[in-house]
Amino acid sequence: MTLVSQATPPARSGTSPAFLRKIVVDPWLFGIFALVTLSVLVFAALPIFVVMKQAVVTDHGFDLGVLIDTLSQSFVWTSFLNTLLLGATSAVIATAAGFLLAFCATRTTMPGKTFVHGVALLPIISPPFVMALAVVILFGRSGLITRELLGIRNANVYGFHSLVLIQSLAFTPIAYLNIRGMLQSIDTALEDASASLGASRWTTFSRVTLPLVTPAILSSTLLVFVKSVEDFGNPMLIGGNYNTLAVEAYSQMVGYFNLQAGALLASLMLVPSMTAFLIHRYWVSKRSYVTVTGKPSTQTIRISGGVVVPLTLGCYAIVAAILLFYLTVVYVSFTKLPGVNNTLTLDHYATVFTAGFQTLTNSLLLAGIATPITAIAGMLIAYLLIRKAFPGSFLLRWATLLSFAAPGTILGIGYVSTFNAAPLLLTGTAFIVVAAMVVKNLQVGIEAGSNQLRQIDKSIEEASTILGASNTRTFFQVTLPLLKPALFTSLSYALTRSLTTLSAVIFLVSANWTLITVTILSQVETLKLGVAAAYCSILVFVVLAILAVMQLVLNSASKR
Amino acid sequence: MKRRFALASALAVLCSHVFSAGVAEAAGMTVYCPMSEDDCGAVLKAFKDDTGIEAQFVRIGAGEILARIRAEKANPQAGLWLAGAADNFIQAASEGLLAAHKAANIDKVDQRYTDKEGRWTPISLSPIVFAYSQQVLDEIGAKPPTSWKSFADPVFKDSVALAHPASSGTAYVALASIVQLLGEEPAFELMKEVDKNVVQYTRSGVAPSRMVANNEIALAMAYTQDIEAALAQGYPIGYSFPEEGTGFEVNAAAAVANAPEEQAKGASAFLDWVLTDKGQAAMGATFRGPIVPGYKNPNAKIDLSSVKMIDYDFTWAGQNRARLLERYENDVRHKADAK
Repeated sequence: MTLVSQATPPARSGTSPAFLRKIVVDPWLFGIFALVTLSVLVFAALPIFVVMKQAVVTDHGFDLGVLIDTLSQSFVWTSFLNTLLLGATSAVIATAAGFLLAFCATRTTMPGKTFVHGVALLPIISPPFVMALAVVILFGRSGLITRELLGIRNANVYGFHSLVLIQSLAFTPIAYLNIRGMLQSIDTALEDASASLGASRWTTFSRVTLPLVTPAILSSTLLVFVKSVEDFGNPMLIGGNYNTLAVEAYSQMVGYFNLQAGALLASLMLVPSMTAFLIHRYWVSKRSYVTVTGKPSTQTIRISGGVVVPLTLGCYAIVAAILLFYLTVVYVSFTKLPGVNNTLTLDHYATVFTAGFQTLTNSLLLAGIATPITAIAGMLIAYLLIRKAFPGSFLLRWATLLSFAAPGTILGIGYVSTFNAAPLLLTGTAFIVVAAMVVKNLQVGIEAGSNQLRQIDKSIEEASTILGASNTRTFFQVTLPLLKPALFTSLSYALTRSLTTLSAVIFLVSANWTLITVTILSQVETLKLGVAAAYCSILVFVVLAILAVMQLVLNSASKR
Repeated sequence: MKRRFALASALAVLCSHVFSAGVAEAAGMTVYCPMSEDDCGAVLKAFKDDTGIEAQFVRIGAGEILARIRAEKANPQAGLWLAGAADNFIQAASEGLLAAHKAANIDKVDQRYTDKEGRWTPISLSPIVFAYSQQVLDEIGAKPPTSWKSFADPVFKDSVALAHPASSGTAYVALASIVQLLGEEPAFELMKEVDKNVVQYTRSGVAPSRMVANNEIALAMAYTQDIEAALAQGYPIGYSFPEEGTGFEVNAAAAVANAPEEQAKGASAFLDWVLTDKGQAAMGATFRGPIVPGYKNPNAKIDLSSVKMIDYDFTWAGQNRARLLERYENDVRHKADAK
């Protein structure tokens, strides 16, 4: 792993022959690298720094007073610990669930795999507030399950337990996609060898498979942890008295008009995320996970028999839970007044169809532009970081992580502040929304790409360059096709997240470019739960259709 | 290769369409509006029918509007900020974010509700009302609330939701009303008792009444227009007013400072228009109470004219906002977390 030495380059001046050589050998790739790094710095790091600066710099100059004031209050530390606890719990549960699903889908004879796969992906399509509303409708005081089924009259749905449930479910697909991509690309010859040498299934699993997917497990845990820390909508809606940093930062900024304290709390949110990332990087970079070597292999091993039953049941339980939530939303979209008058009706859909689909078209168009950019840039950055250690890689690495870990509110306010004057006048355009979508989702693509690259033997690419292909050509014609599973992961993630994002874009939408999530929020806030649910159902349906087409295209593209 | 080229050119056409459209269509006035989409659209349509001025709106929360206008200070994107609690406007005015304009009919409005320098214009008045769910009341064996103190009754344990006064105008007006009625010390003692019953503090002021509508909780406080909207949809919400008298919110609108000239003109025209009979009728149609006395919404279920209102000191509430919120946060909220 050449990156390890890269953190402390011997001489940054460029006089170092090793660094110079890297650039000279590959001027094109270095050009791309420079361009990508510059873009990431401008669109990811700069806006966040503009906001962060306000935590310590006031009109009177540099000022640490507010810093000390804020940090000395006990609620800050309570919410800090709350955030950590919630993040860790959700990360462990979501990763475990994701691993179970991914393992069963790729390594066992579990029946109904396609179905499980489809359902497991559903929660990435969770328009804001929807999961929380479904929890209330199912488990609240007049919940369909708590009250109607179980007869519990005073169920309290607000608090830590609901947050863990929602976040675990919502973030399972991140782990599932990530781990699945890796399990698929592991050369199964290794597992076959282990089995044919007489190892038990358990030994093969625990000594071969599990260690090989460790990078994906760790990076999934990391991603879910960071997402959970950053999550704002759910704690706000259903956290009860369980306050997290994201909520406190928001209320300081928007409620108390205290930009300084808000920026400070938001910076504090970055601490656990960045720490987790450092640990993860240290851990993964010490090992080698190469299994894709260019030698032919076909997958033969399929676990079958008795052990599949409990695994399958576990998967089905997760699938059932996810379905329950989504069917609740669909059900609500057909009821007159959910929870009060459950007569079935088509009124809400009539409302939606009369209002038209301008916001949905906007969302689809902008997300449609943002998605390929996000996915390709993610793979490209992963490649540049893992394979080419150009001087300055650390800037790229940290800037993308920063934008992923930063709360959406901060990114949104930072975008408005930064891109509202020449030479970067972008407010009011669609470009600024697209940029925010790309920046917010880039990290997932980078993680998926990096994991996969760590498995691919460098000699495949070397063969291409030795045969005379340029590095750029090697990337597009050799590396990128090998990254197909990771590409699909980041395509589907970027698409769905771009379509359902809210906290950052709410500061960026203009009258011409309103998005569907803003409409949904508006319906929720004015009690029109049925209409909101109808919009959500349509959104989910559309996303599923696109994902299906995308999968087909990717499959047929690889067969050609 | 041919296909790839076709794909690339299609993409290029698409992109140029997307990235130019935002600039090309920027004619007309842009409005930031925190009311519901229907209400924003209806008021601006009435404005257009009457004056011919085109306006398009972006619907975001009042706190977010303030944050956004602040961030856009160097190059304002919107001309008009339509609706929201006056507290937000007082704060924005103190930061120099609003352009002064003395609305043509401002003399018809009670002087207590106006800004001396005309940096914002009052447009409507919303009293606080108690919302309750009869179904939940029956279950826990309680009576509808009659007083601010009802919220502290232990029978409502885990049956009350409040919006957080820092993020919701509704909740802040309620807090300031209680303080003005009872005096500060007793008011905070009461809020500490109420806090024990609170199951969730919400960000949005509407959310608690939504929870009442769904029989999630027993009690909430809301603006009358939120309850009207729920009643209009058919939710069986009960409502009552405190016998001590209730507080109210002054809703405002303002022109954004340094907005492009055409937008600034449109904003001034709106501020003049909104205090005319037609303007007040358009605001009244959203079930907000009139700020110029006289208009009455024929569809309203809650009779505002008979409501007992306290002599709510609105300037005092604005000036003491930061202090009361901090005290609320420290004495009521975080004490609750610590236990």
